[in-house]
Amino acid sequence: MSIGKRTLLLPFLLALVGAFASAQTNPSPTPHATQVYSLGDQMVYIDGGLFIPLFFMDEGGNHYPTNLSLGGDASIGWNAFLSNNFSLGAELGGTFSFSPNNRSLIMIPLTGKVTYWLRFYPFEFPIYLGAGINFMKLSNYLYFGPILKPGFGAYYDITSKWSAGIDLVYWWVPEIYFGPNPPASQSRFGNFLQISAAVGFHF
Amino acid sequence: MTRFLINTLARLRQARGGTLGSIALGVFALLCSALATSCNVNGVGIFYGLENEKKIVTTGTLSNKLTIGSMVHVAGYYYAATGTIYSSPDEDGGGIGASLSWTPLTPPVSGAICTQLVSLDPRSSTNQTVYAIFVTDSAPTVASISGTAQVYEGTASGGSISWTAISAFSNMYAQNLIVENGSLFVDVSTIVNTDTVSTALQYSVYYWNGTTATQLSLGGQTNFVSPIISGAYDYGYSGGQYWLATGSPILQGSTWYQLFTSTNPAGGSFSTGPALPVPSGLDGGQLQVSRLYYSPASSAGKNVYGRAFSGLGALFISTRNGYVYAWLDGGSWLGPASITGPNGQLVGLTGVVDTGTYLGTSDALIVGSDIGYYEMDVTPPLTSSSSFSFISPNGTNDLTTDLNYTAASLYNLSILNFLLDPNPTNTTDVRIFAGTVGGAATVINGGGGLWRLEPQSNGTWPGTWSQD
Repeated sequence: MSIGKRTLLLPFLLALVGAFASAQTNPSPTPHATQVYSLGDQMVYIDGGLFIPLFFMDEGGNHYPTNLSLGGDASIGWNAFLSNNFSLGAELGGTFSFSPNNRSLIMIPLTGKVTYWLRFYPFEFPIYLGAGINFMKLSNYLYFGPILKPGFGAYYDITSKWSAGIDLVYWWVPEIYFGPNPPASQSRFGNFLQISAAVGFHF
Repeated sequence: MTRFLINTLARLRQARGGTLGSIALGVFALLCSALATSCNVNGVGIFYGLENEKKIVTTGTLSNKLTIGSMVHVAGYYYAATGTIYSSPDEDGGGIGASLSWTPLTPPVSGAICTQLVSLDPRSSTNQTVYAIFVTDSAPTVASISGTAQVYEGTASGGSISWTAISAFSNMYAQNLIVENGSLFVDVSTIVNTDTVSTALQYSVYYWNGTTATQLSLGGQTNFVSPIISGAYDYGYSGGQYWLATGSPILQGSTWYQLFTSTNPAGGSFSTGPALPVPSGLDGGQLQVSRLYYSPASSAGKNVYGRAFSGLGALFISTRNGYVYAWLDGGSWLGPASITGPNGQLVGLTGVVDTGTYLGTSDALIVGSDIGYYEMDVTPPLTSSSSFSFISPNGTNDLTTDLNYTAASLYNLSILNFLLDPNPTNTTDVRIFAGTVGGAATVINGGGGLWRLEPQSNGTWPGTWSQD
């Protein structure tokens, strides 16, 4: 091998050795860590959006129009993670919508919530069921009763602390009477749909 | 179910302990309590009321701020007294929801305020004689009582009324007019000296036969501490009896009397009538009558505004503390039924109207109050074994009066009187008017003024309320 070829080859070899050595002392960056929750992690969130009255149903399964306008809703909630995919929580919400004579129907539910989290980083898809009590007011009329709120959401993890997304929640609101006043025949099951945007903080 | 709940609670407490376990336990308890409890303090289901709510429409031109003190239906026109008398063609042939056009009428004396308007024969569709009280001063004084609350006789025709003062009452302060069976009774107030320095109002009642005013004695008494509040002609009892009620009961011996009867008012005296049965816990002196109303049974063959009427066959007596009594044609009491307001309080009752069988095969007796109205639905005639109770309208009965009562501010208004127009021109379009207390505050909630109940657009009941 002539001196010229050795001269050309040597830097290359040195570079190669150097690269190898560098690789040994400076490993390639690890992939970004997937969000993982465990027992003790918590989350608080707020959401707000559209409240859509769907229909009323009586005990015989007959449907009736609500005569209500589109309304709005807002809520705050809290989740406590029991594992990476399962949380328990609570939520306090409120909605409003209007009757043909501009009477406002206000509902304030307080629910417990069980959530299963599907994760496809950076997206999270909670599937949940809320159940609790609902306070309902229309003019001077009041009603306390149970409520069920199944729903699901789609969230994006902005950072390890913050996430944002949308929720789609179905409200099932029984209004049960046993008579004589109001009569049992006026029992109804209210059906509503909530579409809202949400922001969550994890800690 | 109970065992499941208990076991689940135990597992939660055991499995998690600590803060999270307690929180989960609380949430679970919340869910259980929700399943176990629900309550409503109202008379109408919220969702049910919403699904049946109709938008309140305005069908006339009267202001919602007005207080409708009285209203009559005479020869094709409505006349409503709100201080000013307004008239409108009844549009009985105009169909459901026909718009009424109200015109103010000139009083007989400039600046005079009409405090009451009555028709000589409200059951007639052709009678044109009306009576009214026009006030030209706010209150009588010792120095000036003449002409301050004058009784006028009027002839109503074509939407206007021509008035003539009844001179027999010129020097009296007219307080209340009662017309029954073509007879006019006038309650007046006078000033009396109770001692050397104090004065008080004293009330007495006169019978007007068209030419002469005869002062009446009720139970041997001619002067009273409260107005003669109401009257009725009971066609079905003892061959026909006039009834008058004092606003405050009168104690005779150990019995309180509120009702007085006569077959011949021209004779100048009324006897004590049957004493009201006293509910447990009350004293007879606490029963102050607010209104008398007689509903003739079909056998009496009485018409209302030219249309045959089939009613309950009883005299109804309402009190200021929420009781309704029925004196049956056979001469016995039914009730009382007590009426409680939305917060459980007894309510003061006002006007009464019987819809007869115009709205269906059943009958609805409607009683106005300080807070909306109440309804009793019964198949006529009323008997001693009839159900006698009132409910707030809830749309479940086949003729119950409302589809949007709960939506209308009417359910929260003070209702002073009712007028039934059975509409012989269009028998489907039966109308019930409610005169309410107006004022600026009520407008915020939809208004007072005059309300009209008619059947739905397809002619069926329950009907819908609108504002005139």
